[in-house]
Amino acid sequence: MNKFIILANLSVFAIAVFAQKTPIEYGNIPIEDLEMIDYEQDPDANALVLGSYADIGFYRGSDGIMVQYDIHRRVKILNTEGYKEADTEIMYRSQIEKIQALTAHTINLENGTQQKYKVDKAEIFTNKISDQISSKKFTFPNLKEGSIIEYKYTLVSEYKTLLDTWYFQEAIPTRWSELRVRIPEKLSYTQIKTGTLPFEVNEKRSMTGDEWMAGTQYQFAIKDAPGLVEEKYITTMTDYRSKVDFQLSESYMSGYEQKILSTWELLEEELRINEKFGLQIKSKLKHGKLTNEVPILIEGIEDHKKIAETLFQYVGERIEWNGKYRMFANDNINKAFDKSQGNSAEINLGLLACLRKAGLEAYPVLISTRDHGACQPLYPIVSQFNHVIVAVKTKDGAFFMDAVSPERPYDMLSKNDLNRKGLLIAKGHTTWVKIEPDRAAYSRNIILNFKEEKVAAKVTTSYIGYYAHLQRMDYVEADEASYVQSVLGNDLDYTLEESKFGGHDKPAKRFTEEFDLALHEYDMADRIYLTPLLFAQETDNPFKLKERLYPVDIAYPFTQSNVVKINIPEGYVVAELPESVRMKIPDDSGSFNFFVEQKSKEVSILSKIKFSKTIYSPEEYFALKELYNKIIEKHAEQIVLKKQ
Amino acid sequence: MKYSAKPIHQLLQIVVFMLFPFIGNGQLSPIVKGQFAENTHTVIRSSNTELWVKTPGEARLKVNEIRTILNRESEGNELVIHYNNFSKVKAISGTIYNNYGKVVRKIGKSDIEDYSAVSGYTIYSDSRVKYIEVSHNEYPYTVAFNYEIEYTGIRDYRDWVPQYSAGEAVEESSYKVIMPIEMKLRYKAVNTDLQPVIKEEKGLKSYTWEIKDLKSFEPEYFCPSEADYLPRVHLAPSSFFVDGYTGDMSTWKTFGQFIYELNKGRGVLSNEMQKKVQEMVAEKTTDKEKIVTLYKYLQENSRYVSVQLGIGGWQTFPAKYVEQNKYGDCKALTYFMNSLLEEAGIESYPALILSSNDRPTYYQDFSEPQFNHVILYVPEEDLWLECTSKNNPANYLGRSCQNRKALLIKPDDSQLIDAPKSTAATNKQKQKIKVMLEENGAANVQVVTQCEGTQQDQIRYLANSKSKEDQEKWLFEAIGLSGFNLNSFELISDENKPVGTISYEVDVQKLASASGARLFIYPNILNRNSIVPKKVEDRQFPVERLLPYLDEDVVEITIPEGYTIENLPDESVEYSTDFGTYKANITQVGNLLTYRRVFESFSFRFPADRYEDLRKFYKQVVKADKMKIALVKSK
Repeated sequence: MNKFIILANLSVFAIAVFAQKTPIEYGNIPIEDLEMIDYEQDPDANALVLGSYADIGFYRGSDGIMVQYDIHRRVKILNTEGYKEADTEIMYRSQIEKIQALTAHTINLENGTQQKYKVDKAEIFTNKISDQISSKKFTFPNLKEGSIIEYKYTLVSEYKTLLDTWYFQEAIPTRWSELRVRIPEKLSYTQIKTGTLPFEVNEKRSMTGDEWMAGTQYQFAIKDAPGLVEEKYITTMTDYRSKVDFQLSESYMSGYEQKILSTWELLEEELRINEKFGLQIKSKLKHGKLTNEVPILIEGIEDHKKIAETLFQYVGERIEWNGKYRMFANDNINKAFDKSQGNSAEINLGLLACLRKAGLEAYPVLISTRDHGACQPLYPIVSQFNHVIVAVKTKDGAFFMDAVSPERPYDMLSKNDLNRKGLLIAKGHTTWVKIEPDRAAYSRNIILNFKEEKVAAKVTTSYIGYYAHLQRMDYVEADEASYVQSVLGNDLDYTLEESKFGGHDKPAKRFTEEFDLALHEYDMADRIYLTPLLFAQETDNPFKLKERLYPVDIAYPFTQSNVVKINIPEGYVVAELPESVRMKIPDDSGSFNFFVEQKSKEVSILSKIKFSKTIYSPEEYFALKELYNKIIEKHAEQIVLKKQ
Repeated sequence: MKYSAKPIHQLLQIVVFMLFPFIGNGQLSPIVKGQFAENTHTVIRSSNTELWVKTPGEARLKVNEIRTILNRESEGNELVIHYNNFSKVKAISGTIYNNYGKVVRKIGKSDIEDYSAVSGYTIYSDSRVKYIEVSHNEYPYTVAFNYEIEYTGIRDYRDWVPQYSAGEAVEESSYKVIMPIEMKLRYKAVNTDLQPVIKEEKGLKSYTWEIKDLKSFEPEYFCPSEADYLPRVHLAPSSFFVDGYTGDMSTWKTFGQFIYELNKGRGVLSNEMQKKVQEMVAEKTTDKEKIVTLYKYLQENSRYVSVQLGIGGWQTFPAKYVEQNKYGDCKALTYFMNSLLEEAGIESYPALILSSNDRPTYYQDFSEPQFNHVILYVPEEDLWLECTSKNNPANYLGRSCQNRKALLIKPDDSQLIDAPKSTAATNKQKQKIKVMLEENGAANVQVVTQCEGTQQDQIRYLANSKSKEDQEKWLFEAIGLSGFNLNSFELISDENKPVGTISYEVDVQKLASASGARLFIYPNILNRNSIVPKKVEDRQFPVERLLPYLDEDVVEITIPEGYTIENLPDESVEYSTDFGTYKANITQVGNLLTYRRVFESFSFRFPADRYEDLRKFYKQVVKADKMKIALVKSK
């Protein structure tokens, strides 16, 4: 018998055991919903989810235990911008899942009565996205402002390790979102809830019945969830979106307990013997081709940091990253070596194997990248990780390495890795470790001298940490004239007379540049007006909004310091000078120092902006906004020189 | 990634190569540093395409290409092959060689990915793509790609484009077409004088084009689109067969006739719909009014959804489909509109057009289907309708359908006609700004910006499709001021003309910067040009700008009591060039300063040696826009 056939019995049991009503009933639309013109809670909404409901259960099919998802969704289209909600795509894993009983309708109120329009089967398309993933695509006929669209379907799946995440919240507001999950006795799932919206329903009850019906039913519902709006300076919106995940933690199959995953220690044991993880590090058959070179490469090098740097360059250049973040190898390290291409696990586990062969103390660290979402240490759920990096301990200190891009300094992580913490895997000592970002800083000196024909400017800048890396990448990827223009901007009328660069030939945490410029901005008139910071003037406030809901996360702390010295030309005096100011946000973690001083024939201006935290609360957002307004205001102030 | 390490290794390998060549014909001789210009990323060592046309509906395309990848910027390491229900990709193979010609590895089945080529707006289409991406850890390296496509339906022949993009150098490239003597191959070479070598043998005729040694180039500011200067041979069939349909595209007239026949009879409206049309136009006296009424009906009762299947790409869904579903793609919506107008007794014809931001490249003397869009033309009113837009006024096509030709589909009389042309006067922005400046530099600013033509597209979209909240968010980002409170705003688009207006009022904390007794302000507060095209030593390409526009700004600044202007310029600034004109002046009456600026940017095309003149003009504009006024408190 086809394993995908839904047993008719199932629905009979469903009715018998669950006398509870479903939150929305297909085809039965309350007249008030059809008459609705806009949504009170959010009058600007383009569409509103009236009801989003899933019922998840298990049953025994002819080929094994299957998960069945019964999904029903109903959306109100409030205006023409909301029409795009009608374009539906339901994804599924084509090899192990199937979609059945898909029905969809548009319901309109016409002349006081309900008119229903069915989505024609011929307008439902099966789209092959890749070998493993396909989707059902369709849209709804006869839409107008006020239409209600709804559809329902059943998805049956062989995949049990993770249940599909249920999102209570999405970009448009949701009036009611409900999930019911029946976990059979024989299986045990760990639950993780994310988000701060309160539950309207949060219940647990035990169910009786045969085999796969007996167990615990969980019921969650959230009412009036607001639409989720994307904001800047954030790790990922998924971190703030209300949702619930279930991961299989134990299964009692055939009468004895099989711990799938229950503690971090067990995770370590499991990973140690896992073919795509621990064995990659341990077995020469898997990494030998890569690690064979190690003794030759490190010959004569004593310093551990130098060894780490050498191996970092070697692995990073030998295996090019294919753009995929993974914590498990796809094939094995040797294969990646042959192809010169691999995923992030193949590269970093390869690096780890090399470091250990060289005798260094190194460990794998599981992390979740910023765009993947925050880690949560409470439950040993593996799917929260999507990447593995390396921690190295030497007598001079410990540091992290990520060789997916060998262009970075060996001990500096990429911005996407900076997600506060990671899980260090070590036998008997598996533990969460804090990931402290490197800082970003630049320190710039500008000296202005007025000569008869031109104004000479000498600009010397020293970049540290992340700024050094970013500048160096810009420099390496462009020709010199374009690079200089990218630093000096489009507003300055200059001729570059000389330039010098330092720290550009290899990845380093320090990059320096020196420019000798002739500026054509100034005529030696009766009055000379100068904006002292020239191209370093801040003109745009990154914090513009009236309101901010989520914390501001800037990934790494930074300091920006500009010192300008102006030599007052012969025959001129200072007529106008900006005033010094100092401003900071309440806990001092963000500050702006603006210091102006005149000493006989020289004027000096210092501007220093410093942000020492990486995370600022939504309440601190306004302080940040005011700080930047002050910075922009002071940077715009002119110095006026008058002819005597 | 670096070139191979030690010179002695290099030397040895070259010697070894010369003694034991791995590939006989020198195609894989090593690349040495400096052999190609710095802007070269990819070198096409050899490219051989063979198109064997068996019948009007059957053909086989064979491609063999050897590319050397010089660095990471190269996209030559990707192979993209489009196919659909009438074409099948066969025999894909590939090999990677290092710089000395040694085989690194062969491409396997697992390297070939297969994707649907559907874009976001399309619900379904049977277009798919085969995709391979290779890499090697040492540059340069060489990859050979080979594949075959079997066609069971033909709508066009693949053109020959030996040099596909900037950064690509070509050592040798050839294209050969073989067809039965009875069939006629139509071809047109552009941007090159290349002629094919034609041979006849055993009832077959072959045409071969070959080119050698094309240098790579770098795109430049204000340069024409690539189709304007890259060598290309357009190839197209005369008679063709696809999905059960036979047609002839020897001329625009015959091709248009085919499209006409393909879509004939599909425009039947239901009785209900016919009645409705009659009701809607009953009260209207002029044809223009009837057109506007029916167009509004279409806009309010339909939306754009694209489903492209088989010949469906050229054939519209029937009018009843649009009636029932209230959606359709550009063809279905255009033909539906055509049916509505017909019912009202007004003659209209669909027109095929290439919608894009570039100057399209189709020719009066060479008919080849290059269209991606359909619009509607009403001859008696010389009026155009964009049937996929819910907000456009009648007779307005967006920028992407202006300044080009369209193929009018008319029974027995299809021909290329001119789509609307844009002029600076029709792409205008008029801004009136009132500033009340205070002593501390704060200001109340009121702005009314009226835009016409392509300059109003954005306003129209926001005014009609976005909520007040979303409009506000957009405005926050769009207003070029720092530190302000938005007190009020309104976005309006005119129903009948392509005109949109934004008005708003803000309180700005620091519009003028204050230093002791002085206040400094840029009178051109909202419309400063800041980009000067880069200096280039040897400009290669002509200097071109497609779209003209006109900006007029009037800024009235009321300065605080007791202040005078320290540096009021006596004369106005005026520049008049072949690229545009610029005029700005500032006058004072009492405590009211008035700044006026008019900037007109022409549509132009000049030879490369005019680039420095263009730069000079922009430099002048940028400097004039930066003009600062110093206000000083009089004692």
